[in-house]
Amino acid sequence: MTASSIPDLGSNSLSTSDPAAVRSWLSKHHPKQLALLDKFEIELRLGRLSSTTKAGPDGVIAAVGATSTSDRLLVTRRTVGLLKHIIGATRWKNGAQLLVLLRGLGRELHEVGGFREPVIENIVRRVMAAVREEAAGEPDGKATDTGRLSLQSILWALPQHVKSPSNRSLSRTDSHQRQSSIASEADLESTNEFPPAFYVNRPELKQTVMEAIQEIVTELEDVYGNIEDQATNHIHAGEVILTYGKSKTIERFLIAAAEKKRTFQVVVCEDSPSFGGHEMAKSLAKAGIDTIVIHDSAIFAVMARVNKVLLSAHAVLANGGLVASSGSNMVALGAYNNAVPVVVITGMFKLCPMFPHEGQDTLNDLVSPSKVMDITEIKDDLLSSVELINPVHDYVKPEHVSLYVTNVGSFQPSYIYRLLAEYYHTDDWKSFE
Amino acid sequence: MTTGTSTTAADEIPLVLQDLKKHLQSSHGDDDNLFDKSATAMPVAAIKALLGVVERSQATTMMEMQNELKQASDCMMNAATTSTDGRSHSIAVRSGCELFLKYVTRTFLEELPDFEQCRQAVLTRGERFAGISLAARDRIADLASDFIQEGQTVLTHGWSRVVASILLQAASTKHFDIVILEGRPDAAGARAAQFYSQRAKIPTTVVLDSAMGYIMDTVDIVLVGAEGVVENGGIVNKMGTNALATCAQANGKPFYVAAESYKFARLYPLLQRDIPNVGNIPMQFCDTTTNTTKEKETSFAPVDLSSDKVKVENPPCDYTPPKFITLLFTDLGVLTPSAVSDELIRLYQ
Repeated sequence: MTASSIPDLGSNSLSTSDPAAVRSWLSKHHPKQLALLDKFEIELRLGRLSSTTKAGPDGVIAAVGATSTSDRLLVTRRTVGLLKHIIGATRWKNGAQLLVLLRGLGRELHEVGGFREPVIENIVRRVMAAVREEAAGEPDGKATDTGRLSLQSILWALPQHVKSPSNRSLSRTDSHQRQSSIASEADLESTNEFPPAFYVNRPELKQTVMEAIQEIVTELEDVYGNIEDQATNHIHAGEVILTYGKSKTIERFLIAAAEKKRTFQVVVCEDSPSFGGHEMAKSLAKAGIDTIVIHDSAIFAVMARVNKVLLSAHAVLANGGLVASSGSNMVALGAYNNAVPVVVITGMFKLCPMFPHEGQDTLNDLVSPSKVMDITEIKDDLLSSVELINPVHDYVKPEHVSLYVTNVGSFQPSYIYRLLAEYYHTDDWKSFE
Repeated sequence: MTTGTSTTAADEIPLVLQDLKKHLQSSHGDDDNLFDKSATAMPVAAIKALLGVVERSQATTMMEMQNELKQASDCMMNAATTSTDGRSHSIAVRSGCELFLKYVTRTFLEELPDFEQCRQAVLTRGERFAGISLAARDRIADLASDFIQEGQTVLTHGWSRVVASILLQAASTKHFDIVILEGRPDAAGARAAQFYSQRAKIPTTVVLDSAMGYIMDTVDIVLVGAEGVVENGGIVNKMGTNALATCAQANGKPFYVAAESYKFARLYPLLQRDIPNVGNIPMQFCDTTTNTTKEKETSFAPVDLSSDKVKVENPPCDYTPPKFITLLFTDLGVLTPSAVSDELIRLYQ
């Protein structure tokens, strides 16, 4: 029965992760899903993914009433919604085909602007890891090996240690063509990219994968709650807390502490040129917290009397470093100089499997400098000789971060590598470029 | 029964060492070929030698087998400690042997009920170990070459095949410079420089070991290999590595270590003298100066230190504590030093 279904599979299934191939495959077999993808991409391009005005493909977003322009959680949830929809409605026969499709979607989303929203790629990788786990998990429980590398797997001399990765990348292109012709029982030494279990056609896989995705969705729904629960562990009575700019996570964290009758003072840096700090201060004051706004140049001056610095994250990197809004590094260095602990409050969906190879340019973006200096104020001859730049983010070294408070617990930067191994599969780390 | 075991093991001992030598031959037989890709690393050679012990063993119980393996590995470690080629192999042998003993125990405890079947399982799996060395180096090169960026200057110390793989892979896509310390006493750095500049065509500068402080502000990253990685994430490597790491941190330069994970050893040195070093090697240097220039101006009269008034110390390795290490590039991934103990604990718990 399986043997007869395999030839069909060759023509109907996606054979490469090339974004163009994914699109043409979707348009041929699943035009509705392609339309959803297009809609998602348009909103991504327009930067409207984080706004709540539009209904998502799945309706998930209706629950979140955020007005902030940088609600990464919302972006993540809408991405999961999209993936869930596509995975649920498209035809694929086994884990390997699904992974090829997901990787293709990851590349597609990266191309249309996903690099500005690293959370999108993170969640694609997260779903891929879930698929790998489900595809490898045989009912007998024996096949626990999902290709994870450890000293144990070296001891067993498992194929992932013996096979050289360069061979793997060479054979990657032809392995997908082969998968259609080769019987599902691939042997251990074959050049297939995925473990043999991934090529076994399993009709129940869709069900278990959807359940795994639902778990991720539930986790995302609980992100703020889990972080807020830890607020009183970190904010103590009478403390002076410094925070930088506007962050929904930190705002809710501080308010949660205040609601539990902790009295403390918050110093908010205004975060020029976007001045998110003003909005943040307003909202904190409204919650009855003693709030002070300072301009960014005064950070070092007030640092001496600060007990703790709270920072938000744009992305958490594999070495435990942090990408946060521009100016955060200054805060972190000021705190480091005064031996003030720097605590980063973030959901783990911002964890990126990448290293800051480009230093301050990592995941950074330059936006219009109109906020730095008003164009009408500068005479034309000056404008031509002055360069104005407005970077959005800062990279903060792991040495300057004391603790990450996340929805799954509190960790030192040196522990981040471990979370990465739990969240993503090492073979999916590679960029979607 | 016990006496019978010890005699068979005693017969094995010379064989184990022969095996070890044989497995290492590919790397030592041909000195010219510095970058022999097929070369077997010390821990892997030790594992292969122990496999030979299992193969020849007459043991009928697990305890007997373990005893024999223990004696064989002790023997190899002794031999490694007394070798005088200027490199400390004892840590590498130790990590290889420990891994293998753990592996055998695991197989016998968890796998099959029958002793003979277990032995066969150990042997068949063991054959795959041969590929591990090479695959690990490829994987590390894959992971780590991105850490070298276009136009950077990389400072390295000593000769390491892993480091060489990384640098070669990086050089295939970008331009960068190498600065390498001369590497006394065996001039390992100078030899490596020849390889990098002539074979790999990477612009290479050699400086004196003592010039590391002078050169440090011109380099972007420091990358070294390791003889062994100890439990706290520190490393044991060629003499001078500790000074280099200290210097790198003082100058705010990242200090990276490339090492295969089978070099992880259950060792917790607190002081430099805690690492198992080779005995007293007489101080002698490989002279890297060429005699083409006018000899009177360049060469200095040799100093005779053979008088008993001066004490000479010449250890081959030093210990670099984890606080100086930014990241470790291993085949298990890019790890922080604290991750090393994590991996070891998970294996030996």
